[in-house]
Amino acid sequence: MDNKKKKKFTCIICPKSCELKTDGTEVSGAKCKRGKLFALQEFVSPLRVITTTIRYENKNNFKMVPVKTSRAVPLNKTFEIIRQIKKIRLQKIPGIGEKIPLKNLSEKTELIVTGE
Amino acid sequence: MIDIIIIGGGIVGASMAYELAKYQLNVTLLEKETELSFGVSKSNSGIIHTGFQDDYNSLKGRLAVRGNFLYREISRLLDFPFIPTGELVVAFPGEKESIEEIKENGDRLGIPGIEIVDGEWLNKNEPMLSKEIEYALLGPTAAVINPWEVIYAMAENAISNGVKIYCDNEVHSIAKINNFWRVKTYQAEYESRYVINAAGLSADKISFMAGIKCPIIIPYKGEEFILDRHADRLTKRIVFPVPKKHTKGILIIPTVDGNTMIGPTSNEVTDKEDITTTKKHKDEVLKAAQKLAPSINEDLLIASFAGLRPTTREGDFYIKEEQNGFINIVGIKSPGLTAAPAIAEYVVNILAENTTLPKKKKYNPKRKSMPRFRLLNTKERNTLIKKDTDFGEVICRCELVTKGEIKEAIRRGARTLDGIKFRTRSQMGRCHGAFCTSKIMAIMSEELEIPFDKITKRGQGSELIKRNEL
Amino acid sequence: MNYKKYDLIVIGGGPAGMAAAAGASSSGVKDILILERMPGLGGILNQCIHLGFGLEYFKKEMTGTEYAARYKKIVYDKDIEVKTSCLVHKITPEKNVSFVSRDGEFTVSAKNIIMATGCRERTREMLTVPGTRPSGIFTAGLAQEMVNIYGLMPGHEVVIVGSGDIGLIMARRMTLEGAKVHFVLEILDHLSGLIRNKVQCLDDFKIPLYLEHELMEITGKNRVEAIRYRDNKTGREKVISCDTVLFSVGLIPEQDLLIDSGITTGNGIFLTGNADYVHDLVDNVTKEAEKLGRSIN
Repeated sequence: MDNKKKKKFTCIICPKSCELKTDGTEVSGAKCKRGKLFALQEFVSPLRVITTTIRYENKNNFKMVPVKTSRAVPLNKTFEIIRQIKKIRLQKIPGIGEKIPLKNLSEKTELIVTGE
Repeated sequence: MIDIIIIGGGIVGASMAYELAKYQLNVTLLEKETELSFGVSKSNSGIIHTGFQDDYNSLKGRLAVRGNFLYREISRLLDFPFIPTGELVVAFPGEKESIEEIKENGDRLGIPGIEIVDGEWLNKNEPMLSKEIEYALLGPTAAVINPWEVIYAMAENAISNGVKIYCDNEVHSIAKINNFWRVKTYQAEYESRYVINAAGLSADKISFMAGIKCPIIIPYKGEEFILDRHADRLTKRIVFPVPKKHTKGILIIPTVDGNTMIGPTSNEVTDKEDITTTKKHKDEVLKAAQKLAPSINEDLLIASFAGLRPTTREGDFYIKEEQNGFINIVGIKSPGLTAAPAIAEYVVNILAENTTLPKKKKYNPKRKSMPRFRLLNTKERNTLIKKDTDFGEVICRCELVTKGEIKEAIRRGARTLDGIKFRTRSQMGRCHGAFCTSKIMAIMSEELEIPFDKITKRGQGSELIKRNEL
Repeated sequence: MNYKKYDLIVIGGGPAGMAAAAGASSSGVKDILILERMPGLGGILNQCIHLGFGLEYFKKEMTGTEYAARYKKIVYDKDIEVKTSCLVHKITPEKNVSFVSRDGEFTVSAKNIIMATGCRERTREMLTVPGTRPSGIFTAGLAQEMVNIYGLMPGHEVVIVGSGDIGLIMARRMTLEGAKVHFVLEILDHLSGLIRNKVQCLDDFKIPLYLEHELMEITGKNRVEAIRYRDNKTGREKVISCDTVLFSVGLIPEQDLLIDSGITTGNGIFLTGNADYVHDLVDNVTKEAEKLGRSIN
């Protein structure tokens, strides 16, 4: 492993929280394949799934609808994506698993409803 | 034209309103806070004293004894809990003489039933007390109440008899114009023949506004600590140490709601808004309380609060018609809560010297308390739920408070989370509101037709949330 | 509701209660009743919109809300009676269970009772933190409910006291909603919550975690204005202005129903999930509660 380029990460794939080291090609400290991939990705550009809520409102009622991005998106795009999500106005309460499109983003992702 | 304006909606102002409501008078009460009792009174220990700790020569001593007597009838008429716990002033070795002196003072005041009991009696009747205590002065007429509950009860009765009460109405100027007083608040303007100054910590300020000298108010802070109900009532009676020169000392107080309270401290402060609690005083209270009852420990503490006493250098109550219908009630510190109904009676007697006071022909002497779901039996609960299903929806699970009670509290004038807390006991239990605050806010938003961001803890500036929408 | 004797009454319809009932049902227990105080099953999972659930049990990472929905299906596919919006306030050694609902107060009895009442958060009052008592002081869980269920913003300038998981999760949640989370104070020399939550919720957003730091005082008359805190390593104290303080200083199993009713477990009365002891992962709650359920007969 190239010591100069080496970076350390704490794995967030599962609660074991393995301490990972990688130089971008090799990974040490990972106890599973997913951890290894996590370290390699984290080395290039950290990706995260964003979770938040969208407001549904009519005259008599309101509901906060929980959503997540359909895939992990670059961490540094978090606030850009959150801003787009905030613009969404729901016409009806969607069912769990339903997809909500996200427009005007440099990242291709949509939202998935996570609650009933 | 208003006959009498009462400034201040604490226990003294509420007692005045309740008493004056019996007469053919047009009475208005002005309170600067968002709800009644939010000044000095809400932090009161809730003790109805026997009166034996105050000099038989003093006005406060005489009024406390009379007030203690009056509360029995008032609590029955206005349907609020008055728990006749009795009190003990305990004597450690070398202190017997002090309690004998208090007994002599109590005898001169004509307080019934007081006697000195010995260690054996204490062992049998108050087993949690320190075994080092040799004697105690027993005062069976002492009791506990919830101060805010009494204020709300008196106010509800007064309103039903035509008294007008306006909160969020802070007085900023008082002027004598011809033969009436013009009282201006930041919200409105009133004219009245009489002004009764029951403004607690601000009583001196109010008096000066009218151009009248009176004793200066010096705030004395008291910090108190509440023990978990698992600890049950530690003692059956209120327990006092032998009093010091300026204070009754740190006590053990069995509260109306079944908790035990310890405190208060007593320290002069400069700021009339200083209601901070401190580590130093927590330790002081714990140490003093442990001396009385050794099993008290820090792990039992579930809440703390602080309040201010409107004290004067002169010490005694200052109650006087000053000039042209301005009546000062200044320096009402302990035993002010006890004395309040007697203070009201005393002031009515002052008024009666110069004016005739015919009683109302149609007077409602009563008031019904809020329904308390927790205290009802199954049959009573089901009757209530049948009438209104909101009584079947429990909002505060720690204290078993229902949606019906929250709505009733709002109907009776609660405008803030603290106001709902005092009227229903919601948010006072073990979770301290973690489980019910949002639900109560939702009910307030609906009933009062206000957005969430207008809901406050205790009035403007104490909004719970910053923004209505994310 | 007719008087009926159940084989099993489960108090609480959160993850533990659902799993206990499902476990019992799958091992052949017949008359099962879940009593839930909220309008629906799922418990506190319903306000957990974040990921980190299900990896162990469902072999899939999901949000708390997804986990709840998935397990609710398991319950509804079985022959389990569910009664929501009813609050149990008393149980007796004879295993009579009293609850209040909009239909009235009822008492039902059971051969077995499983208490799956969850836990509650420790509060500022329990720590007797010195200072004033203004608005703007919340437990992290209450703030989470306000944001995720009611869509309300509790504050803009936030300090989090205690490094429990809900506090860490709320540090990120408040940040995503535009609040400035200054830091997390932890009196111990180590993190209380899961490391993965620190990485994703604090490190990702550059929110500092101050270990061995103690909250000394809260100031502000009507609303929180500032806090004073101390570095216990150096003894140095600092003040920071903020309008909100969130407490995440530990969870307490909710066993008060037993304590207040004056009874203990045993003889057909069981505790499970966070009501028994506080778990880090809901997956483990599910597994334990299912196992307990299966052992009931």
